[in-house]
Amino acid sequence: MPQPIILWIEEVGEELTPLVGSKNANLGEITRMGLPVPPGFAVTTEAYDEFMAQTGAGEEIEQYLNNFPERPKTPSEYGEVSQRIKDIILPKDLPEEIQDAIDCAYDELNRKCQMTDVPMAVRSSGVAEDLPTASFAGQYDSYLNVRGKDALFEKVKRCWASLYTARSIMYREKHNLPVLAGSMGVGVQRMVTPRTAGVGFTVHPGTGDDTKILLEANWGTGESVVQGVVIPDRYVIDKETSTLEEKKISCKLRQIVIGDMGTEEQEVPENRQSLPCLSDEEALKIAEFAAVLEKSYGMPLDIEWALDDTLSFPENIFLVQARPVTKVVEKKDTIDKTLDRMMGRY
Amino acid sequence: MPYDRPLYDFNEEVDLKNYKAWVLGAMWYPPPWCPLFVDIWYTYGKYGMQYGPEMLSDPRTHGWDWRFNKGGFYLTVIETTEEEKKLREKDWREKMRVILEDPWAMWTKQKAELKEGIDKVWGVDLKALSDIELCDHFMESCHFIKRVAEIHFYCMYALGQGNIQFRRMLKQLLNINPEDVEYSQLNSGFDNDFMKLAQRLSELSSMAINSGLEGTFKETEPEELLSKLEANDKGKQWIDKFNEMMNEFGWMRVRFLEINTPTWLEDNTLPLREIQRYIKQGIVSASTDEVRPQLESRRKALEEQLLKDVPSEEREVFKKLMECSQASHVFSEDHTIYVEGIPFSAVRLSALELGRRFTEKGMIDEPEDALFLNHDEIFHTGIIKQRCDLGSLVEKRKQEYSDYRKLEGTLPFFLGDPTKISELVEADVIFSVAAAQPIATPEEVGASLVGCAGSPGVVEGTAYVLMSDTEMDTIGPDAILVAPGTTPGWTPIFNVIKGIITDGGGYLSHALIVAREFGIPGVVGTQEATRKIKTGQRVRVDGNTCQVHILD
Repeated sequence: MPQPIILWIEEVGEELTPLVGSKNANLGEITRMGLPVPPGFAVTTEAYDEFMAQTGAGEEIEQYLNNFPERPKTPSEYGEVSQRIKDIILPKDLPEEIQDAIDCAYDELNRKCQMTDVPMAVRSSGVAEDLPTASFAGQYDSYLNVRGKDALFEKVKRCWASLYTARSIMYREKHNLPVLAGSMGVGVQRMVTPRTAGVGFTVHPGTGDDTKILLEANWGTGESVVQGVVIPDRYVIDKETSTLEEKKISCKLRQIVIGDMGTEEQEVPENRQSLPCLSDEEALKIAEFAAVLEKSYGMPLDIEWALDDTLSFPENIFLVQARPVTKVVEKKDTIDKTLDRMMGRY
Repeated sequence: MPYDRPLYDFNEEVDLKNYKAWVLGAMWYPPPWCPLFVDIWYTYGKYGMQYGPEMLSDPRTHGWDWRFNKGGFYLTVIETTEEEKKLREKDWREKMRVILEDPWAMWTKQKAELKEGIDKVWGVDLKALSDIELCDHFMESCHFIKRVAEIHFYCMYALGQGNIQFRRMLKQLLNINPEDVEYSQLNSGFDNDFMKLAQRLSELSSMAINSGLEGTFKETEPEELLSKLEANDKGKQWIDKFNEMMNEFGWMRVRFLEINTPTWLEDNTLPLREIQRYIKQGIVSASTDEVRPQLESRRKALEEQLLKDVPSEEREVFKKLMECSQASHVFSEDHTIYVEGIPFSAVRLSALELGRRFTEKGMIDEPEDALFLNHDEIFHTGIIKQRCDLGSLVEKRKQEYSDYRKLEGTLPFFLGDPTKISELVEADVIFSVAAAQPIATPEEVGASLVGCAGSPGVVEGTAYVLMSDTEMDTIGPDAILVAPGTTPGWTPIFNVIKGIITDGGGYLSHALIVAREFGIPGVVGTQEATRKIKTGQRVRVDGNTCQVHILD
């Protein structure tokens, strides 16, 4: 029986990782836990595989890579390979049945959201079966605020092509994996128009302290936090007592917001720069979600979340990503850390 | 060649090849050291500077090397190799772990050991000893310096690191500089034995005024003061109180890290002059006893507030380093008595008693001539009942000493490549005590001088340029003290000056620690204040920005 082209987030879970990619599978798991995730669907690896087979792109890529004299080794070679593969994928039209399936799902998403032109977040969702230990965060491309069918079709192809971004080629090269990649899923979700967004850690990434949850937040989308555009507001919540132990409001000069197409970086209006971008109850709620997630996964996680501007608490909170922390800092005692400092480290 | 000790002499060819750069020890020079002190320091004292880091297996430094050069002395760091760094770190971590568990415990323990040692060599009736007993006492005092130096630099390397890291952390996390008032407040309000001296002097000053003795003190030469006071009961009571103070602080010398100035026991006009100066300037109560609890509660409140501002993941480390820094400040003050103070006074008095016996035999002209001999020469002469020729030796050394004195003020601040100094400080953070560099050039900030560290506050006054602590008497009202550096011997003067500027020194230098404790503005490490500023000029000291402005 042929595999489906489209699966809705609530239909998937970890067991379907090879078909929808780990990001989509994660979102499915989060939904199963009863936690809020923006509505959306997965474009499966079946779509990728069919596209590669029917358009001949797969063969072209394989041939190109086979003809490459040696494995690419330098940044400029990575860039060259990446560009060439993009040139193979992007000009080709989607096969009819794939385009129809995505088209249908798009209409359904509009209905679900009671909209006609729903803004979407389109994200690569790697199957990562070839990279079991590596944190693959940020290797593949994501597109925010995508609008309309044509743009959606194009971004799906761009996500596929991002299997071959220079950095993912380099990554595979470094880990001695074949440059020719497996397959790729794509996630399509209603774009949350975020008032505030950010990340969360269920184990402190700096100290390895696993009794606290750390949140970092800024106005607008979470990109500014992930990319380090600002010093974010920080909230530390004790897991056991569920109390806010620390709240550090910084002066947030820049934010990344949803523009007409995609996102744009801009200045935060002066009167909002030093205001807390999360209320205490919002911070506690996000931490509560994070704790539920961690318990269910049974391992430390980092999460991404966003607060929708158009909804009110607690419906405004959405989880947009959760992944296991692959590298947990070894827990050190105060004296060890003090000595590290004396040695000029950390 | 310094006093017949060729290896102590700076050898340009060898010493510039083996080391990156050398910096003049401006805190302790001028004037040049006398021969006996050079000998004691190189034989017993300087060794501690290696003992500290070596016993701690400090990954980055073997300690300092010192060279004598034209009467001044220069310092540098014996850096470790990359390989040594790796080998030593594990060991160092284990040893430091024990110390950091309780930073206060180490100095408390070491202080107790020092007090025990001091009891053996200090307060002995030297005149009553036979020649051989006196020689024994002299050598024991000298040997004691070895243990004193071991403890000194062991504590300094163990605690000083924490202090320096704490300053960096304050700057990094809370943007508080060592010049800021918060830093002073964090390190004030602890009991330390040496600060009691200023308190005792102001108590004696208050007592004199309250007993109606003010006139006597103002009109009488210090030499005649005590005999005049004997005349009435109030005077006698005052003398009792004065003797109490002398029991505690009679070991005081004008100059520290040197033994060629008299102790207060030998010359009681020194403390009497000091008290007269207090009375003339109306300083009746520094009353540290009253101020201390206030300082303490202010410090505790600040600690609490700062801990709140520090991100939670850094809080414990911050607390640990703060504790370390505070312990290091108390060590720094206490060590004035138990390390640099009493042990060296014991050596001096023993050497002078031997000198007195040599003089009686006509071998030298006066007891102080013994200070122009090495310790082994003194010992040798003592045990053979003075059957040798000392006169020509002393004469030669005196000539050499006076030649060095003529070179004062002409020695360069650095030898070798001064741009390498920061690498040395990086390797051995304690080296910043001697080698801190100004934070900007005067031209850059439009000041007359720029220092490398300050005590907070801004003040204007009249400059008094004192090249040595023996000139302290010349200081007048409205004074800004300008000096090459200060050692603990200068401490009493901090009660009468409005501000201080020094050529040498860094964050941990004595001048700054005391200036902060007394709450007066100061700038240290200006390199050339004593050359640029003239006595009588109006100057402004800005300890907040480390700048000095000459206003005339």
